[in-house]
Amino acid sequence: MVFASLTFLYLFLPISALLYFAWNNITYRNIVLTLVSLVFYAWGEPVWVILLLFSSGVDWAHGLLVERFRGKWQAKAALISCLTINLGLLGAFKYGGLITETLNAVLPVALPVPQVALPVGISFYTFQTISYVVDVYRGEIPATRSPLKFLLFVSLFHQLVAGPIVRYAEIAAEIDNRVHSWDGAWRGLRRFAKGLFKKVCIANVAALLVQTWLDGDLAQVGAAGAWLGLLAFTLQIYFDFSGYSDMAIGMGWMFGFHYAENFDHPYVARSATEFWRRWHISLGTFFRDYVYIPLGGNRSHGMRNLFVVWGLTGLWHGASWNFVIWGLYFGLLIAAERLFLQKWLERLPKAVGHLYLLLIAMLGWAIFHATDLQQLRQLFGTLFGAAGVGDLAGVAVALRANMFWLAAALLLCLPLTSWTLRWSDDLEVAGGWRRGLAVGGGALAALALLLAATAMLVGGTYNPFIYYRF
Amino acid sequence: MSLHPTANPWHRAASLLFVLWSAIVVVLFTQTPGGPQRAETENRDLAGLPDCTVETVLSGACMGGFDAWVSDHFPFRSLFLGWSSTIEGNRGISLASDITVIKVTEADLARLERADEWAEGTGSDLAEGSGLEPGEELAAAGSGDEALLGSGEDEAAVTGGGEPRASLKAPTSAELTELEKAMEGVELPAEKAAPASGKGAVSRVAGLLVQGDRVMQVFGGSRRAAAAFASIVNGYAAALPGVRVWSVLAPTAISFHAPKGYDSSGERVNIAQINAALSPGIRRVDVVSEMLQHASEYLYFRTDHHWTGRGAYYAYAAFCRSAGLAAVPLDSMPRKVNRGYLGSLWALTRVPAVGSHPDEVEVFSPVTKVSARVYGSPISGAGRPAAWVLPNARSYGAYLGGDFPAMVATTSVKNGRKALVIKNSFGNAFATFLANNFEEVVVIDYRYFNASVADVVVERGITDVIIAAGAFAANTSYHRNRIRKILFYNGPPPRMDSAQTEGSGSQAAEGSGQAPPAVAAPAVAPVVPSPEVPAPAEPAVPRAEAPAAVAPAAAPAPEGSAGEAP
Repeated sequence: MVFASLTFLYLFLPISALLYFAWNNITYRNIVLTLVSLVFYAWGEPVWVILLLFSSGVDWAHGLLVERFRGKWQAKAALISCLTINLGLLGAFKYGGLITETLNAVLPVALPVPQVALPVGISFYTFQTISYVVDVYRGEIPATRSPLKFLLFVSLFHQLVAGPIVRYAEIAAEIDNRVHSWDGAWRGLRRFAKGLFKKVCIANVAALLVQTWLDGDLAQVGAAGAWLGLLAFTLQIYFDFSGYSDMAIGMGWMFGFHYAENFDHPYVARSATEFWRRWHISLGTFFRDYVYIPLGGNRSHGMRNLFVVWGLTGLWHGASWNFVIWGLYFGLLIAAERLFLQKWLERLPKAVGHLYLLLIAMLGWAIFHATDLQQLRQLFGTLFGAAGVGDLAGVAVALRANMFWLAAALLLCLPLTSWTLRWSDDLEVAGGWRRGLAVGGGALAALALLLAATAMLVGGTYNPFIYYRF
Repeated sequence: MSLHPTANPWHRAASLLFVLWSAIVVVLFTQTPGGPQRAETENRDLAGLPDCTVETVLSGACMGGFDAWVSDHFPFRSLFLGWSSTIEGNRGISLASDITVIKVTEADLARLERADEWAEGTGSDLAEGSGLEPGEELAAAGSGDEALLGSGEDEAAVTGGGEPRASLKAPTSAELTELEKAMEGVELPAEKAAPASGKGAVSRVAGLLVQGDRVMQVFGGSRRAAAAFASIVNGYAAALPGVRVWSVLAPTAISFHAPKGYDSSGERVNIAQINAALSPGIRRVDVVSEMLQHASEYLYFRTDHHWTGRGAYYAYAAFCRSAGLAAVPLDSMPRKVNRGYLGSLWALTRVPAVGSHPDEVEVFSPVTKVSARVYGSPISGAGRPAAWVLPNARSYGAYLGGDFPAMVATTSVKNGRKALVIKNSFGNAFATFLANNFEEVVVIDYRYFNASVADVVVERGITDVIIAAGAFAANTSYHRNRIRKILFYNGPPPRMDSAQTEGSGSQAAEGSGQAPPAVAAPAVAPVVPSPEVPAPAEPAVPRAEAPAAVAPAAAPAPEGSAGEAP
């Protein structure tokens, strides 16, 4: 199931909440939450829900083994076994095709290319369970004895299919004991409505422009059309993914969980380094804590470690070489910034930094969007004029026909909502009628966003989901 | 509820607002009927609750069906549809003169072809009581899809795999060359502007052109396809001696309403090429000229890919002129206008400017008494009574009530003439008028009819066979293959035909997979066009400097590739 669907919004979520709040008992609530999460997953993956259960069972057991043999060699063996199984599953399901195709291309062999559909969310939940076992091994958290609680952690529908990547330590205490309040419910609803609007009213509309200007015949749209398509893709991927994160965080609030922020207005950054501190934060910190620092961080082989991390970051996004190139592209930029670029940028006016980031981010998305190397060459060629300036009149019509939407989308890339929320919080603190005004205004705004998104879902048939592939 | 003791009453009120709204929706859902219902404004059946078995659950079909049911039965659905239209319409500023090409998937375009799914709603009620094998028409529609989506290579598989062999002889490459020679000098403007890559060919067909409140299909046909279609019509004439055979091809809106600066001659040239390649015994029906004389009238829906009843009337008038029949004047027929039709092209594009200006359906009823019955294939038994026209219908389904494998209408006309119309949905509106001039009108939908047309002709004493389809169909190999196939359906007795055996080795053309050398239709004489067939006068219009967004239309068609939906 996906969040941005009528079934989820108006049947699954209300019924889950009803069952959940029906009885005030934490074990009951955890069971309800686990069961509805499994239904949520099975709705889209009726077969691979078995894999989710298997993976959870394996990692729960490994956590216990690691703890039981803490300090002994068996603990290390259990850790290695856990990593092998998890990365093996990920390799088999996600990278099997890439590996065999690459071997076939490089070596004189003809291995059969496995045609396995990627189980939804496997990249997210595998990373969550890996982080759990590693944290237990490091002694940062105790292993949980309860398979139910562990399954809840893995399958929790808020963040199961599209992140953020939540670590056990972040929610362990809340699994055992969490506070439900109308304050949290309101905060969560507000956040959820915002995320839903971002996904349905911004990202889905951008997807239509991408379809027209980037997915068609590039020779005909020319440079102008390709840049318009790339702008639309830049907006689509941000609003799609951050909208999902907003919804996850919002639902967390409703059900008493507090997940860390995953996006912090990445397009206002002024360098690649800063961009990645603001984009998919939970993935960045995962690679930092579980790959970069264990490899030696920036103290030994800093550059090597950096490229390993960025190559892997790219690969995590998809089983195709263009994603690796995309990751290494950012690795290269971040290395350059570390060596000299950052210093230069700091001496220049801020606007230069912003322009620099927007340009490299968009070119990055061009690499991301092309699914094979030939497409990549063609797209870059078109962007830089190989097919001529292109369809200026058509681009002008498209821009005019979407100008209000585009203005709204660009404004929403700024930390506007943070400002309005701060303002609204200030009003609330002031108390009295100001509080009523702040909450009432917020409620009307959130309701408007929800109804607008509902209308678009009822009216529209187009609802792609980019991050489903990961 | 274990709510925080310091709960802020404002926060509770705000949250309860959302709880209340979801509760209303959930409660209304429990009151919603599970069965399929009709959505009048959209002219389609709303989804019913899915059949959930272990298999459909495991495949996800059950859940997908449930999602479809939810979105089709959402409370206050029409209100939300209106809002979404308002939101969509205010994304920016659109001018009526703006031209956009909307890319739709080829699967969606192929769905246009299964017209009943969009506009006519015949599928499920048809299977009951009409003596059809359950699922018969669905199977036919399914294979159509496959062929529409497949590339040239797949065609052989579609006709070959387990199905009876194509019975009408495919044109040999030698014949095609002859045909092409006869048409020398006629060059599609499109062919001049060949794109470098094969990809352009795909985006060419997967495009719908939107201008203001009108959506049009971008035409993609080729001279080679035109020749292939003509040879099939010629094959009918040769196989059915003593029967008049006609080709009535429906142009589409793009020939009449193309935006300024957009080269729209492709379809007209293509139809002219087909007419030019018909064998000399076949009299021409100049549909395009007749319609052009009335170009200012309401000939095409703006929201649907079909012509209107009025558009089809002028094709009927052109036919009558050629056939020596007296066309019934338009204003002497009972007429009814129904407002509020949003057709297939709106459903595909959902452009607000289009959706906010629905079409009118103008229904003309024959002046004769007509009694019609629906049959499966072959035409046997008593059939099921059916409406020839539905004067009150708000969709293209007003004509013939939809697509059925076969329909037979008996009229009060007494002139000894009996017509057989071999058609796709474009022929529906056309066929309704024939009841004014024929004792009997048999209508066969070549997509769903799985029996021999030749048998029908002989058994019923048909005097006129009219192949009436959209010009897109003539340029799509799936459609040609079906028309060719149903002439004899199970094939005439095998006979060696030396000429063809010889030629088969070099058949690079599309026909190669379908006509095994050993099975040749004895009745079909080699098709050689008469040398005096004049080349159509249509000059090759130089391409205007149209914006690239509209240019895909002019790209050439490697013969009948995919997605062309009549």
